[in-house]
Amino acid sequence: MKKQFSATKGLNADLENFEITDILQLITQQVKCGSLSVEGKDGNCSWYFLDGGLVDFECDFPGHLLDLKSILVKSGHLDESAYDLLTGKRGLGEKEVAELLVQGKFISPGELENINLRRLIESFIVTMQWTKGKYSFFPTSEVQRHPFLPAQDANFIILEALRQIDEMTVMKKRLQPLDRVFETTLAQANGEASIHDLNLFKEGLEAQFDRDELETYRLFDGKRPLSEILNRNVLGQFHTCRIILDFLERGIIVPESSSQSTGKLSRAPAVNRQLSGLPLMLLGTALVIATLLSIKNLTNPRQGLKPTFFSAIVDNLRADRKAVLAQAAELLRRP
Amino acid sequence: MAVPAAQANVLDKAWRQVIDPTPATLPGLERSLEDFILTKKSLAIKNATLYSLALIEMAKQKSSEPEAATLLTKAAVQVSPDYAFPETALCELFFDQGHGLKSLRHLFAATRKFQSNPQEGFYAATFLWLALAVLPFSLMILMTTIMAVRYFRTFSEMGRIKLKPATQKLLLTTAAIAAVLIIYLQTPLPGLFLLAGLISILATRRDIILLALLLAALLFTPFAYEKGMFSLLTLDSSFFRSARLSESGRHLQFEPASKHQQPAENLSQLVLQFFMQAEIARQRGEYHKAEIFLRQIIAEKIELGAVYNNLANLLFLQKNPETTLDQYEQLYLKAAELEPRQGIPYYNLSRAYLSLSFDLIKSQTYLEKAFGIDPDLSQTHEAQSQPDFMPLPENFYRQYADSQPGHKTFFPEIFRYMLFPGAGWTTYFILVIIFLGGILWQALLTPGNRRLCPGCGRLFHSLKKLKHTAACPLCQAAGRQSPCNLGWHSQTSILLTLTSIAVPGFYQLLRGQPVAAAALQIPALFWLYNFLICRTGIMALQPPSTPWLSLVFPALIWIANLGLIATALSIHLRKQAGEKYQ
Repeated sequence: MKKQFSATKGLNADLENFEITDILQLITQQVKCGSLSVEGKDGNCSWYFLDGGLVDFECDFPGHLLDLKSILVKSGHLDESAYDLLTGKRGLGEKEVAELLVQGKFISPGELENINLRRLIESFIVTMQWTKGKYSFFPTSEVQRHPFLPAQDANFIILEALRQIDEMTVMKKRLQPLDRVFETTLAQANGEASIHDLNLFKEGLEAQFDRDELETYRLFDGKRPLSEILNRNVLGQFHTCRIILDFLERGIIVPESSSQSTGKLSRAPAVNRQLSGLPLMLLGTALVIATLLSIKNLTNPRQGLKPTFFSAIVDNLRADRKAVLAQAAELLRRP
Repeated sequence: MAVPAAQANVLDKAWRQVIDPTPATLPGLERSLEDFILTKKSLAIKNATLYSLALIEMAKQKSSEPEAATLLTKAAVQVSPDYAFPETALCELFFDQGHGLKSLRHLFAATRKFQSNPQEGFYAATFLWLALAVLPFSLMILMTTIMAVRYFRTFSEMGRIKLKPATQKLLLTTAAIAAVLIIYLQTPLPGLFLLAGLISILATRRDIILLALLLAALLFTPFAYEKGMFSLLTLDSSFFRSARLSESGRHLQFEPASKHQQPAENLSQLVLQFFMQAEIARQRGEYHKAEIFLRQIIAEKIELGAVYNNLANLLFLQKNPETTLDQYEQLYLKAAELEPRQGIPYYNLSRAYLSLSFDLIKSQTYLEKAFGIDPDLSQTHEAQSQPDFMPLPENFYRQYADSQPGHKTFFPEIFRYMLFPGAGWTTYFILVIIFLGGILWQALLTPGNRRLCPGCGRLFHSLKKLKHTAACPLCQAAGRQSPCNLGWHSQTSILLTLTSIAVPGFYQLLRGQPVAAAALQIPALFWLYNFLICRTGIMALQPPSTPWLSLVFPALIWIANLGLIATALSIHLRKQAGEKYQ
């Protein structure tokens, strides 16, 4: 639940005049306690500091799936109805739900800490890319720690976010234009699968990806553009970019335009379906027959055909051997 | 060695005792064989191949009497100790009698002689070089054809995705026309290029690299074929015909040397011609003529140990009073210097010192040197009364073979049967290199993770976690990883199973195990080649025709093939059973 505060005794500024990294460094250097809130075009976010350390955060980015519920549901820790059951009826906040999940052993504290750390970095990645917006710092000593987020050095988080932004810029250049639609090649090869096979196919698919890859892979439905996949993936933009590039390098996904040009599958009769496989069989059979005929004609030409050089020499040697054997047989004749 | 008439009469007399022994019992036969071998030795006849052949024939006639047959075949080995064919006959005899180990021992002995004997060495060279020419080509044809079966489903499905029905029909018609042309013109190589090129479009990178390797091996084929044909031509050359006659041990009305002469085209042919004429003259006892021929070789400034050694021997046999011991020493030492691995020149020099000056100290010194280099000399030269003559070094025979004329005839012939009429050396290499480049380019374009599922034959792209298995996600979930489940009709599956049993390496290649497939197919094709070359009759009585190669070897390959299939299937079934249990 978002904390309400006023910034009357704090600091208010525009992102255009004073960069967010500068204010973060100021808070860290002066070992301040309080909350920093940013409001921009894509949502808003608040970070909480205790003695200069980052101890909690709350974000609301409608274009990005950064909320705990989406992440837990997408990563398969629990389904949506179970989450609603835990939160909706009792009106619990995110932290309380997290505690319940850990108590109920739906997720381990370590896993939850990792998820929160990734969300924290992602929140900086999103806000650092804003060029317009307002922020306010409200000093207070009443700051509570997040139960599943160890206190973080803000400088480290900033540097990590900046590193990821830099790398992501390079990766995004390779993915341009981001409005392209991609399709999985695995789905192409699976064109002939029956419904039963498709179920097996899904099971097999889950077995061969790790969780992050599977999450990304599922988003490639031949409809979503890359930009949407980057924003909607719960892994965050940086990790999504890395996985997409990996998929592209390994030929797991192909641009939808290329698969469209090749035409979609048609349920043609079985015989028609083998029309493009049969040339292989025809050529293979012809190859074997031609080879056998060549060997036969080279070593032992048919009656009426001109003998080959090879067969002539072989005939000479054979005749020679016959003559020698006849001489040997001659030796065996008694006088 | 051909024998002068007087000597031949003595040998004939001993031979008559062999074919008509008195008493006509086994000990009687044994005694007459011993007499014949002793007579042959006393006449300084090293090999008498015709008599060995006659003894082998006699042994075959006495196959109902195992002891007599063994005795006769063993005698054949002693009569021609440098030749492989009597050892081969003995190997076959022991095999028929069920003495496997003895048979194998004689097979090894035969193989050793097959390589070391200058005459039979050319049979061995023909056999091996032609095998090297034929094997890569036949392996590529076999593997590419099996790959066509392996990629059938992939092509069917991908073709359906990428091609319209009209285009599919056009492709099929074009392939049918190409197939008819390939058969009608008998041009396997263009057919091979076409098929391999087609497969490489959808093949995995590993299979494309395999095709490229096989294709690269084709670059070696013409060279191997050239060497093999040169060896074959040498066997058919007048020089080797004369050599065969001279080793027959039979007094033949010697055909005039000119009949065995061809105009020498190069120095090695000229030297061989002079050397052969010197040998013929020597065997007739015309030592002076023989000396002239050898001096001709020296005049051509060809430095060969055998020439100097044999010249010194001829001077020794002429007992020329003008020749001093120093001159003998000079010639023999020159021979020893040119052939440092031969003890014969020192042995002959030792004899010269003993006969001409009775210098025991020098004689003993050189004899020790001779035995130091070649300890076997003490056994082989016991019964000889004459100095030992040396043959030409083996590499000289190879040079002779390589300078045979004929490549202008046999190259167009082989390229005609591989490529098309009118194709030559340049066309062949240009085509192979261009195609190899194309295949390698295709390998670069192919995604590294492209896989072909052995369970269903579908193309898919594997991911990190699938490294341990070759199956696609679908087959992995269903527990199908065997090519028996290629998803085809049951008749096709039966056909595939039968082919897997009959053709070694078929199952392994279908499963995507090219190394295991090659390990089975290379010996299988070698056996097929051995079978075909033995059918021409030129390898009769040589090691390739033994039952070990013609019967036991293919049986072992077939058992290995069945064993590997059974192991793969049992592992698969055990896995399936384990999964069900879980």
